Amino acid sequence: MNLNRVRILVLVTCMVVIAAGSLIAAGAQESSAAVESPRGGQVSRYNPDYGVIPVPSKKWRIGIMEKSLINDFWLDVKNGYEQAAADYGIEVEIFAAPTESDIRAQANTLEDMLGKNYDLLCVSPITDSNLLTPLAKATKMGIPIINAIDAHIDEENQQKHGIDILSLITVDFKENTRMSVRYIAEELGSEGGECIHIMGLPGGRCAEERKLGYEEEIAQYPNLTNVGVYNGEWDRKKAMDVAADILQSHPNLKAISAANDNMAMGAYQAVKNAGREGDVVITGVDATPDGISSVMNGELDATTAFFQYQLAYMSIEAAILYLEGQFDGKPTVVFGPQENWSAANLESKVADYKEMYAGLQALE
Amino acid sequence: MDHAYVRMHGIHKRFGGIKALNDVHLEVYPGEVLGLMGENGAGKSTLMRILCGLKQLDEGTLTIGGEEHVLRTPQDAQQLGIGMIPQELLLVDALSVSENIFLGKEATAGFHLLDEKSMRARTRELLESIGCRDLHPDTELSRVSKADQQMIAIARRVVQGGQVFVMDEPTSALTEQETQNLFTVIRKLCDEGRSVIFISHRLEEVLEICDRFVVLRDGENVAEFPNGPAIDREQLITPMIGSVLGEEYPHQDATPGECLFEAQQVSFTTAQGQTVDDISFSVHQGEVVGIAGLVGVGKSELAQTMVGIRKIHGGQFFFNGKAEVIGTPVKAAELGIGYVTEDRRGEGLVLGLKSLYNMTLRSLHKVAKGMLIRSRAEAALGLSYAEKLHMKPQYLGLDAQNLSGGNQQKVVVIRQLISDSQLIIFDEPTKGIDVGAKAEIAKLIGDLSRDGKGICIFSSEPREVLGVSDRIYVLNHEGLAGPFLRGTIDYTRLMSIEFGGVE
Amino acid sequence: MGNMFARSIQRYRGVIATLVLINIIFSFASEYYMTMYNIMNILDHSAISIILSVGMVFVLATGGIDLSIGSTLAFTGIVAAQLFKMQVFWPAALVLAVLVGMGIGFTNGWFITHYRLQPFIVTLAMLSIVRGAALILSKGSPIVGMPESFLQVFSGPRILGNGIFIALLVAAGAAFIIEKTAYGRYIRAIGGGEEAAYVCGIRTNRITRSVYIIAGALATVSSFLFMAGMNAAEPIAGLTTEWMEAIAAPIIGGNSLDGGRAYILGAVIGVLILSCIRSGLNMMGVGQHYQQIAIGAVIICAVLIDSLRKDK
Repeated sequence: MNLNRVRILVLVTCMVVIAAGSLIAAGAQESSAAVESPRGGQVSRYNPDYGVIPVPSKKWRIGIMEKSLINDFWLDVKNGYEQAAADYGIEVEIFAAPTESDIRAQANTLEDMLGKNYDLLCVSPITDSNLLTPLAKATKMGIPIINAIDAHIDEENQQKHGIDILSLITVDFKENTRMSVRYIAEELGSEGGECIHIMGLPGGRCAEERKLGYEEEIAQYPNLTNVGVYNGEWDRKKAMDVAADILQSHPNLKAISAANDNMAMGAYQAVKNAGREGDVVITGVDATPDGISSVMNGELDATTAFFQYQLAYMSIEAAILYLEGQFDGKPTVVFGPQENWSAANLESKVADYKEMYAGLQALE
Repeated sequence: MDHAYVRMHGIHKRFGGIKALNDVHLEVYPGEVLGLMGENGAGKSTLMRILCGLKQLDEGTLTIGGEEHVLRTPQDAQQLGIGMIPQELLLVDALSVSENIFLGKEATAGFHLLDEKSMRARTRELLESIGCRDLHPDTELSRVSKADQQMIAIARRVVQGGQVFVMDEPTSALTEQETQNLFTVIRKLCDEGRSVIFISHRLEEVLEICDRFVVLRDGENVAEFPNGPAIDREQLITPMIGSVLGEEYPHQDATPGECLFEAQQVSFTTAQGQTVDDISFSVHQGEVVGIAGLVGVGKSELAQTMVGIRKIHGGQFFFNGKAEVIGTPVKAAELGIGYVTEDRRGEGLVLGLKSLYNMTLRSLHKVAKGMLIRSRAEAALGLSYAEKLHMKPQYLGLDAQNLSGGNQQKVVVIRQLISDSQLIIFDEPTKGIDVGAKAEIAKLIGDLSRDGKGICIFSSEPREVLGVSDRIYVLNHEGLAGPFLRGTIDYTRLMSIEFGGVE
Repeated sequence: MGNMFARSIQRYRGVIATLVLINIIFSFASEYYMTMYNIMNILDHSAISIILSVGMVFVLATGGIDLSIGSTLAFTGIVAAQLFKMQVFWPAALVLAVLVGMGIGFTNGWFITHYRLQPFIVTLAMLSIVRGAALILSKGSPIVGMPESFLQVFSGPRILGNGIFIALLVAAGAAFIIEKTAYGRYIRAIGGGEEAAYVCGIRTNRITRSVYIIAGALATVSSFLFMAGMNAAEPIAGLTTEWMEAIAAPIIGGNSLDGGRAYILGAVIGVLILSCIRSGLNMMGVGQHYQQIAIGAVIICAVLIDSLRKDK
């Protein structure tokens, strides 16, 4: 009996040591991000609109709320925040919900953060509504808010709940497919030809905007004919079936713009099956590791890359601009950069961005 | 004479203040079936547990195969070839017959891979040899009847190998035919030079199979019969029961009142799945009725049927002259039938609840005002009964699991008293209770009957039944015998009926 | 009365000590921890878990478990929100939602008692079924917009909401029922020895069913706080954290999965311990992943310390 008690005491001690060890490790990790030489007084790294970013007048403290930290996308975002903080010599503390569905935990954690007197908050809400209450509190407490990446608090909700959002910093989905169309136009040259778009699940903001971007841009080129937009539901197999049908009905099809890499790869399979490989230009969006290897292997022709790391970096730059009183007149919506990646530039691009993106590092 | 495989000498064992074994000796010779005889509590099981490494001896020596050994665990005993086939089966329900038989001794075909094929074949062979031809080696154990499980346990024992097999009540779940199959296996084992220690309450069987007898009483050797087949049952019973019958149980004659409870041609099923038919008896106000019988004969099950825990298959109960269907304990409680179970820790007490709360569990309405329990009234009520039963007041605050067996029993009895039960059924009222408390419980039972309550006692301790009862019934394999009025039946006759002797 | 207070302190001294210790450590570790704002926050965030835990204590006391309360929280919230949208007088809508929650609890209890199925399995299945129903009824997206007076009652003044008061009221009522009524005695008796309780003439099935109904009803009440806090009914509410805390907190507070114990105050303190740890680690800026390790460690420690106490 006594032995048992001793054993349990030892166990409890071990647990405490493990927990404490983890916390110390965590602390060590947090602090290691905040070294390196401060910059500033230079033109913004990723957004020329911001102009010259001033040297911070003090070590501003910025609270960050991400959606989660359990996939590459949000880890890239975290790296972006931390690098920017290190570069400019300010302090960031990064929080997240345990999973991308734990809406209440995200709201509670944000409320906790409100007690820490941050100079500014950057938040990426899980849904359009789950952070309304704490954000309203933040505005009441006079803490400025940047809505960074993903779900956004629209005008209506801002007014209804009394929330002031400085800026929404996110991706221009329309531009994703505009880039694809420009690439197609260049590839097909003066000859032009018939094109289609395979869109994602209708109703979603991303799917609808990418479709719109395609339609608007293709209207600019008289020699390109839009023969239709088809629904691939973000699914590789669906996209393959759709593409196969169209190759039958439009034997002169020259290009396929898919709303993501996944569907583009489905379309490629259909083209290959029809024996028209090399004959049809295929583009995707997202620059996923799978999509990039597909471009490398000469299957897809191009994909549009947008940069979550840079979005995070820009959010910090915007924060500094605001905190130093130089934010006036900046747009309420800021879109991050994006690029068309094809066989022509792929290798150098991957090399350029490898440092920042875990997905690219895993490519080789 | 010194070719005994096992020689236990001068064995002493104490439990608390009680001497369970006092200078006991036992020898087992190769190739014999040794009948170990004695009443409940004579020390047979303790002795066997020591032999099998389940209990440690306090004093004495254990020589096995000519060398002295100290057995600390059952594994030690098994290594020396001694194994028990216990009454409670130690098989795994979720495994197949074959897997059970080879559990822990799996045959392998290299690289730790199981050699299923050979195990299955060997299982079939074994089952055949013990007369279970219909059993498939792959059948899951839970689908096998209790009797077959018993045979499987034996088969497993044989596979695991050994020199001495201890069989404690191996036939309690078996039919006549199955018993004969078992005897065939036992004889085969003996022909191979192995030995069996056989313990059974069924005298006919014992007389049939055993070559030699050792009789224990109150933890001492009292007789030994080297020539088994020449013994008759009277010769065997006499040393088991001894001759002294002291005034262990104080008794005052009661004056029975009206008939309180009656069972007419009731039938039910025992835990082993055997049907007991045509049970009729009655209990009057102010009298103690004792129902005696061996362990496993169905006494507890009859008690459970009376309080609605077990299903009644036929017949009828009457309470206060009215026919009643007692389908659930709720109904029994409403009628005023109290039940003091044999399984105190399982069915009797809520172990994690305070003793006081256990006492009042059935009659909270008495101490409650509307929904609210009035703690003070509850404590006072519990205390008054505790005093009556000579229970220390501080015990009321303890969790029931921390009380001694005697006090636990008192708590359950007090619960029945507080709830004003008219009929109180006791199943093995003094099982696991020390001697002092036994007399106290017996006296309590007498007091209750004098207060006009009807008492019905089920017990496998003949002395207890004879000591406290006004009328006695005996349950054996053939049915319920009696009633016998107090004084018209003595110990020898009671035992003889219990063992299924002809009247 | 004073005696009872003394006994409570005695029984809960382990968890109370833990709570105090955690608070001392965190107030040294972070300057932001021991502020009025943060203390209010901790209390406010605890409300939902307290109500869920109280329901769970009833279930645990009988030796059962209810995994479905998180889904019930989401579903009943959606039901109430849909009724709001249909212009049903909001208190009436809440009553209907509570009845729905009790219905879910009854279904759990009925399968458990009538078919003798294991509570873990039944409520696990119900977790999935009710979640699906919530997603269907809401078409997968949150329902925004609550009646103003509803928000007033369940959310109340912004800084310290009414939620915590409602939660404490629920806890006090539950403690009263468990300590003072025959019903409370019976649920502990069932958990402590169902067979003995049955043999003793207690209607064990009926009582076992009732605790799942209570858990369902309280899950619904907590969904009101959830909706008021978010100003929306979310079909993915209570997906993990909420119901896991509702099981962990009572265990930390000395209740047992084996049943027989019903320590409401322990469960409340358990919730506070978890809330304080979350908050404190947030204040220290410790990452989400490490927080999960810390919370797991606390749960194991609490159970170990409890078993240590039993050894004595």
